[in-house]
Amino acid sequence: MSGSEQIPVHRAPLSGSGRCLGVDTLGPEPVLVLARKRGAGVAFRRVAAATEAPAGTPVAAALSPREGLTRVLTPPLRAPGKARRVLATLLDIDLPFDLDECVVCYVDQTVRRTEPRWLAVVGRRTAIGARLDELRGLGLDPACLDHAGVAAWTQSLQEAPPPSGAAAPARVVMLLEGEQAVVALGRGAVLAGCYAVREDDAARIARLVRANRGDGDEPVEWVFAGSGAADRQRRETVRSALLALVPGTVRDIGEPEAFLARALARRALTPGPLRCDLRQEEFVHAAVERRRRRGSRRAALVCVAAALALLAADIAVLRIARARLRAADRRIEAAVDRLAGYEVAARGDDALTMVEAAVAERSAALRPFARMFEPSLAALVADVVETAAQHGLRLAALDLRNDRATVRGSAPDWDACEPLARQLRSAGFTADIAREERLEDERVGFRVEAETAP
Amino acid sequence: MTRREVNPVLWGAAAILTAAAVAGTVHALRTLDASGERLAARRETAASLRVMAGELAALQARRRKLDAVPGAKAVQLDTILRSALGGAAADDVRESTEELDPPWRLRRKEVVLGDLPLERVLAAVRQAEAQRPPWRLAECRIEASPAAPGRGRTVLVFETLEKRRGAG
Repeated sequence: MSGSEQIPVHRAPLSGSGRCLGVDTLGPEPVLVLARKRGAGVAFRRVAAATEAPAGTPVAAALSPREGLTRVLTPPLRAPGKARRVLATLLDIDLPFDLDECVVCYVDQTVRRTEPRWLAVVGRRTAIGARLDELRGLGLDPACLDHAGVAAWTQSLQEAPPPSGAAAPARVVMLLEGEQAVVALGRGAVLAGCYAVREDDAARIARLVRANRGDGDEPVEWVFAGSGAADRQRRETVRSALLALVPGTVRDIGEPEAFLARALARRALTPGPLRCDLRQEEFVHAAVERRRRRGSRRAALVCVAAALALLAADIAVLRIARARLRAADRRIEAAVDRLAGYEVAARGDDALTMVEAAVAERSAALRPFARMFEPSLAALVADVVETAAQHGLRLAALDLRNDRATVRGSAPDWDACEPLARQLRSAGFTADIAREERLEDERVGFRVEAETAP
Repeated sequence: MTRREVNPVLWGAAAILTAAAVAGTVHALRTLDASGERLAARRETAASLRVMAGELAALQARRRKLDAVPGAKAVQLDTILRSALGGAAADDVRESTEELDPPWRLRRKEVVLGDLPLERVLAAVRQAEAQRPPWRLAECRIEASPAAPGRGRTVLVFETLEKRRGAG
C-alpha cells in the first residue's frame, strides 16, 4: 500500500461551526486548544482555560481506548449501503458485551473497492455517561466526543504524512498520556486498531506492532506525542525501549503535549478520513441537536420554496399554453369572419365548414371576372386542331369548356393520339385516353376525356 | 406549537407541496403535449384559411381591375360573326343574362353554326375576342363533317361582362 492511497472522506461532526475548543483530559492536566477555520485549513492557539474562548465555542473531547474500543470489520458486500446493513451483525459477534449497551460509529476506510474495510468505534453507554459527567465536573460540556486513538492516528497523518509514492511503512502512534499510553497502529492511511497499554510494557507494545506489521523485519515509523512526549527523559526512556524491540524511524511532532487537543479540534471542524462522534442518541448535545433542527428546518424550507417555485412555474406554463391557444383561436375566428363576410357564430370544425361554403359562394360569384384574365379557350381550340393535323388525327367531335374537354376521332396508329392528351395536360387538364378496336380503314379510334385538376 | 413539532409540520408541508408540485408538473407536461397538438391543428387551420383568403383576394383583385375599366356595352356579336363568316348567318342564337354583383351582369350567347370551314369559324372567334369589351369563348362543340375534312357544325358559347346602364 502506498502512502498516496486515499480512504473515504467523512463530514465533520461540527461542520456548521467556524471554531472549536479541543480538550485533551487524558493527561495529568487538561490541555485546551482553540481552533478556527481558515479557508480549507485550521489555525490553532493554546488557551489556559475554556473561558478564554469566545462564548458559545463548541468543545470537542475524547474517550480513551480504555473507555472505547475500535474494531476493523470486513463485510462481504462491496456496496457501502449494503455493507453498512451487515456491520452491526459482524460487530455483535466480535464484541465481548451486548451491542445495545453501546454507541457505535461506523466509518468506511475502504482503499480498494474490492476489499471493503470499515472501522467500528464503540463506546459503552456507561463509559460515555461517566466521561461526560467527568468533563462537566471540569466545567466542560463537549458537543462532540471523539475517540483518542482514532484522533491521534488521523492527526499523525496530517502532521507527519506518510511518504508519498513509495509503499507506506507500518506506523505506530504512541500517545503518552496518564498511566496508560494510547497506541494506534496502521499502515498508510488505514488504521488497524487502537489500544490502551502501559507505556512501560514495551514487550506488549512490540507484540501488537509485530502483529500489525506482519511477517518480515521491515522498519516501522514511530510517532510519539502527548504530554509524556514533551518530557524529554520520559520520551527517551519509552523510545529506546521500544526501538530496541522494534527498530524503525521516529517522526517528530511539534508541541506534542497539544497534539490530541489539536487532533480533536481539527476533526470536529473539518471533513476528513475516519471522522466520528460518540455523542449520539440520548447523548446528543443540545446545541448540536438545535443545529440539526435548524439545518432540517432550512432544508424543509428549501423544499417548500422549490415546490412553490415549481408550482408557480407549472401554473405559468399552463397559463402561457392557454393564452397561446386563445390567441390562435382569436386569430382563426377573425380570419373566419373576414372570409365569410359576416360574423360566424359557430366554432371549430362547424365554423370552418361554414367559411368554406361562404368562400366557395363568393369565389363562384367572382369566377366570371377571373375568367376574363385566363388564357383564351379559342387558342386551345386552335392548338388542338393544329396538333390533330400535325399527327394525322381525324377529329370527329370536339367539346371544349373551361372545366372539361372531350375529343373523339381516329388516329393512324396506337400512339398518335398521345400528343393531343399531352397538350390538354399542359393546358391544366387531367387527360385520359380510351382507344377503340381497329376500324375497317386500319385506323385507331380514340376518345380523350379531360377535366381540370381539382 | 413547540419547536419539536416545527420540523415534522414543515416537512409534512414540504412533502405535500412537493407531491403537489410533481403532480402539477406531470399535469402541465401532459397539458403542454395536448396543447401542442391543438396548437398544431390551429396552425394547420390558419394555413388553410390563409390559402382561401389568398385565392379570394386574387379573385377580388381581378374584379377590382375590371371595376376600374370604364363601362361600355359589348358590340353586337351577330354583326361580328356575320362579317367574319362572309355573310353566313347563325342557324340559331340563344341569349341569357346573369345578374352579378352590382353593377355587373354576365351576358351569354350560344351560337349554332352550320357546316362551315373550321378555319373561318376560328377566325370569327378570334375577331369576337378582340372586341372591347371582348366576347370570350366559354364553350366550343364541333361535330366534324364526315364528308369534308376541315369543316363541321359548330356550337359556340360566348360570354361578356357588362356594366348595367347608369354605372361607371
